Amino acid sequence: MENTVQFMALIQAYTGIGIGLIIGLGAAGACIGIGIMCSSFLDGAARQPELIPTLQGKVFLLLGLIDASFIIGVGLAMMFAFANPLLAVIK
Amino acid sequence: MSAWGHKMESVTNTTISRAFSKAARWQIIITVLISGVSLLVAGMNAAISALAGGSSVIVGGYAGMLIAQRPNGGAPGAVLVTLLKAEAIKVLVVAMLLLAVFKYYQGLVPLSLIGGLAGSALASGAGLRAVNNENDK
Repeated sequence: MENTVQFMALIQAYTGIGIGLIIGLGAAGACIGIGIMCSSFLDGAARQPELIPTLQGKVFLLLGLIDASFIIGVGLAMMFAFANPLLAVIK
Repeated sequence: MSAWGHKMESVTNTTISRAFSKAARWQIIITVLISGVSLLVAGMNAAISALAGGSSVIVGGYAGMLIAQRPNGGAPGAVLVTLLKAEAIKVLVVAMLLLAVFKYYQGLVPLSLIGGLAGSALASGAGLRAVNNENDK
């Protein structure tokens, strides 16, 4: 019984670290990607202002695409937080 | 705002809503497809979970589009701030919806939800191809 509780605490602790890494690294990657894309957008808009509406639509879609990995990471992190499949090992 | 600014804004709003509608069409198709596969493989709860995952991304995208269409003056910096605000709202809405699903849906099948979510999030890139094709014409 005591061992089970210890194992559960251990799994939950390591899962917590994993959740932090998933969200943190995902956010860092998304931020780097968005930063690069936004700088390119400003560059293009400064060179050809008449292209701003066209570029804006593409930037909107690409923001979604760059953030997709982060959103998937958030979903995975929530899965580990609310329905941790690793805990099934000790039941 | 000048006449040029008004014209730019209406063109911009049309471009964004067209881009979103093209992306949303593919997102809905992919979500329904994954939901159907989940229904065949793992039952009704898995299908509903996949639908919940996919629709949370679509609803988040719609909320982001509403923010992105707000008037911003047409200057590149202001456009960028509006787009980043829209993206922040989108991520927030998606996270809140996912939180609600994980907390209140008792029969949740997590893998199906992640599948629907990932498929729908990645399908948003399909809208880009459609916008590119329109520009080529």
